[in-house]
Amino acid sequence: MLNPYSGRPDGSFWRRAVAIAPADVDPVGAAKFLIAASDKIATAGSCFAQHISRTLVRQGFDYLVTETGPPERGFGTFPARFGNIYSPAQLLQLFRRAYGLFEPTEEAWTRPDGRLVDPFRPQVEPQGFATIEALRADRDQHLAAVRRMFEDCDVFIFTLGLTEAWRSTKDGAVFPLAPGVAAAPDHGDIAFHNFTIAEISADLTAFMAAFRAVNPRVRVIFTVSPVPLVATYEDRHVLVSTIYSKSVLRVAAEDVSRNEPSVAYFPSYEIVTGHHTGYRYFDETLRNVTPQGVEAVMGLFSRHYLAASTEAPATPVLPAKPPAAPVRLDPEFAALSAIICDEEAIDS
Amino acid sequence: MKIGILGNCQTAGFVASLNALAPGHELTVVRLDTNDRNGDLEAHASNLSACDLLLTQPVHDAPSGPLRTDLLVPRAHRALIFPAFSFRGFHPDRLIYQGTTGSATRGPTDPCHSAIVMACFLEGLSPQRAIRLFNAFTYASLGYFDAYEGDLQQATAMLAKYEVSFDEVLRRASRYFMHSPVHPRIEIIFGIAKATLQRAGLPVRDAAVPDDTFVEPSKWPVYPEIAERLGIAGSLEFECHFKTRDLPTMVEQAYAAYATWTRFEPVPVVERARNFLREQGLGTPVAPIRLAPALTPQDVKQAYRLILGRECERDEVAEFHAKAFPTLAQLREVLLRSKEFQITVRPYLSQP
Repeated sequence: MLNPYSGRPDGSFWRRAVAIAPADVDPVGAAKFLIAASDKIATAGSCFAQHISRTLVRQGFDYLVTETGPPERGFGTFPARFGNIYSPAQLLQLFRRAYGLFEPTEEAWTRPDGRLVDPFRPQVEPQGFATIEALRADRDQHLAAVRRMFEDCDVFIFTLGLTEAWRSTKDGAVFPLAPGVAAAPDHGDIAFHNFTIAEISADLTAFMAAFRAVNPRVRVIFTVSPVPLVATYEDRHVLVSTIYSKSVLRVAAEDVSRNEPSVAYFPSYEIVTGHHTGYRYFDETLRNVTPQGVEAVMGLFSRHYLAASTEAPATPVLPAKPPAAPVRLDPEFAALSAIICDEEAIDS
Repeated sequence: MKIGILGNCQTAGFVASLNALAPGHELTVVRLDTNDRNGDLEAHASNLSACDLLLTQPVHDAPSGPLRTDLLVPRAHRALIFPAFSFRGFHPDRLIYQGTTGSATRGPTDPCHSAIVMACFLEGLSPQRAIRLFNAFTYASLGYFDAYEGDLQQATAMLAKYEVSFDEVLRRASRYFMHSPVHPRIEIIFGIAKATLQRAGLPVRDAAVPDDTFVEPSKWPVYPEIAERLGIAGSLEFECHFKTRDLPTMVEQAYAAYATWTRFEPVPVVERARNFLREQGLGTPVAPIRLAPALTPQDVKQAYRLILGRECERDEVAEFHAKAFPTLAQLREVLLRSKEFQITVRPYLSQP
């Protein structure tokens, strides 16, 4: 019998596909579909998802924005002003809140300055809200914009970020930030939860079924953020929690995309954290992805998925070695730093 | 030629179309949606069957007596059946609710109701929640987006039985071709009339479509998400008897009305909506006392006493009627239209 691996392509072999010049490593494989310039694209997810939206805008693609306003108030970062969405449960609940299927008991948290915030997007309104009525009015029009996003987009790209979450013990509502980070409720009905693979897969599957009901033709790309956890609430080392979290998200993304022609997995996580990079796509914090890392991800994304990109696909360029000390920010990096990451607030 | 025409509210448009397509015939028209139905049904049947040609919609309900198709057609010199047309694709959420004897069934858009609103009320959801459930996910889950395509196939097959090509009819119709699920715009009726006259072998001239005969006192909107998929204008403005209500007003007034109702008959489209709400884990059903029980033999016996003034002859008859009629309203209608009631009770009612 012939060695069954003998006819496999180069990409199947570590020696030929990974242990080569880093710039030549391309783990994406055949794209399931192409994104045309005319396609309306929506993105959501953890802070790494913001890199994707910025690239799409820069390359002239039709990035869908259904809720408009000044950028300093969180508009335009994502299609609607929902802030970062770290887990599939949060995404599914956003959908269910938008369509009147879930009305969490938590409506508002109070900041130290007395202003109110929406616990499901605590940092999108820098000034907070003066009254509960103002918060509700803004939330209602926001959820209408979320519905428009789900129904009008041709392509939806979701970056999975975390399995650790804080949720209501009363109704299971999942919050993007732990209580007390940006604001706090006046009760203790919130508890930590680390989602299991079964829960994450079930939430992703339920989300896809609901999403398809309102938008049967949408194409979806799942990707996993390469950014490690800023902190873990589990009683164990943050590195162990990070690997657990990313592993679970990666498996769930595989589950939901493997047999669906219109659902793809894009390996952002592998491109940034793969052995070929020697962790050089992280800055000295070993957490923030460098501009070169983002460029590598988006270059491969453009090459494989963007059918009519107006920019030539960027070739990944690895720095010779990790920067030894903080350097001056160039404009590109400045743009990157504008990425709004709710999670950072935990460690600030 | 003398042509007798029998049908429902679509008959006016059919007659206008016939006059445009084949003028000069002498027409005898009986409409089952007007006072014609309360007149001397046998006289109507005689007049219609005396014509050279009878054109009738299918009539199967017992109260129509001698006007029923199976009784009238054999009496006619020549008869053709033409279809009544209905289409839910634009208004899949709307239902007609007549209610039961003695129970209030009034509502802001009476007799039309929204299945979503009625289901939300029965499942104990707030009016505000009901309003928020008017969205694409609800419509998709309830099959509302598929209603157009489904009814397109249904209508095509139904019309083909009467040698009417729906494709041909739609070619002259506007994209929004129904006023309501049972009121087609005149282009549809015109197309049916033309095909029917051709099937009858009558010469048909090339005529313009006449003015629409429906003056709609009530207009149910095509919900925006449904309208968008159909390429027509959508709305959530509910018109009833020339008064317009927005969605929140309609829902609040419907809730206020339903709170006074004592019974709710199960209606399939409402039951589907209630199942959807339960599947989504929403709401808590209101007290089951609001749900109408099935008709009992005791109800039938009581109806006999009150309407016919006598005891029901046998238990088997009461049991049969209890199973045959899903609602008290239908049993009441049959008893009021029975010959026994007409002969033994009605004369007393007309006396001063």
